[in-house]
Amino acid sequence: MQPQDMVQRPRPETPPSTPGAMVDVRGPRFSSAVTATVLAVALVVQGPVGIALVAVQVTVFAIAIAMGVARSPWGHLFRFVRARAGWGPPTELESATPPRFAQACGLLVAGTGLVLLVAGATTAGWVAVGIVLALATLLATSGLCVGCELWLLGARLVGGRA
Amino acid sequence: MIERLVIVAAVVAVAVLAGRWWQARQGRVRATGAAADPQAGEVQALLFTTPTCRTCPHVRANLAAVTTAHPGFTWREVDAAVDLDTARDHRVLRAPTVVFHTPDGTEVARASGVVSATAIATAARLSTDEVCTAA
Repeated sequence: MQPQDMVQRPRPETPPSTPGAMVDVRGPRFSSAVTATVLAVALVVQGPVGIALVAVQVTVFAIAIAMGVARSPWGHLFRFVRARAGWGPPTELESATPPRFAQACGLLVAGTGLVLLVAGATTAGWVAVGIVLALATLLATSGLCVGCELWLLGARLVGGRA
Repeated sequence: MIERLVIVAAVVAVAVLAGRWWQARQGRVRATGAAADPQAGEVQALLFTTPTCRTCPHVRANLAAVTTAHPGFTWREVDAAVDLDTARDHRVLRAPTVVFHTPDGTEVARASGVVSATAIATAARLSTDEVCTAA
């Protein structure tokens, strides 16, 4: 695959499980906006309802990693809203690898938060949820994927091939 | 409840501001080398990419656009997943990073994030007239 082809001749959205899968660039940002909303509500409500909302988001992260970002519940919601709101076909496609990696980072931190909450370490658990809220807000509003940015730093620290 | 609402609003506000600050720094070319001012047509470039890089395709397209306008401008892509040592040698911490250098490998400038074709041409001391920015 020629790298330039990805930019100049976007292919249709391919099944997310195939390597080199492409997704609508607006999808991951929409999904992170939904994620940020869910976690913001969870943080405000807290208690059993809040913890349940965190559990829902952790499940969404897990589905996105296992089945691809386009097949995650928020990915389906994005296409539903896109069709209803008449946003039209993708203006641009991007590789599904970075958003999927971002979901894995989200799962790691939010999953830790959920375990802490269930174990009774309430403050530490909500701090972890707050971190994911901040990262999801960054991706939704600025397109900055902090986890993706850390990839090279991590690879350099680990030293070998990542 | 009000207290939590304020905390959540503060977290979101800080994230939005941090994003704005980060966006403003994107693609700015900074002179890094103390090397003598390079001549037009002398500057080459290295593009550092990673598998998790969202904006690398844009920068790749912009570098290609400069080469289209100025066939003498050459650049090479370094995938850090394949060639981590080169990324380490150039002290590259994030992708996309474009390192501008002279033919002998002396670095003259670098830019991280989405660098426009115009900024690339300017850094390479080339005319920006015929360069159209793809992103």
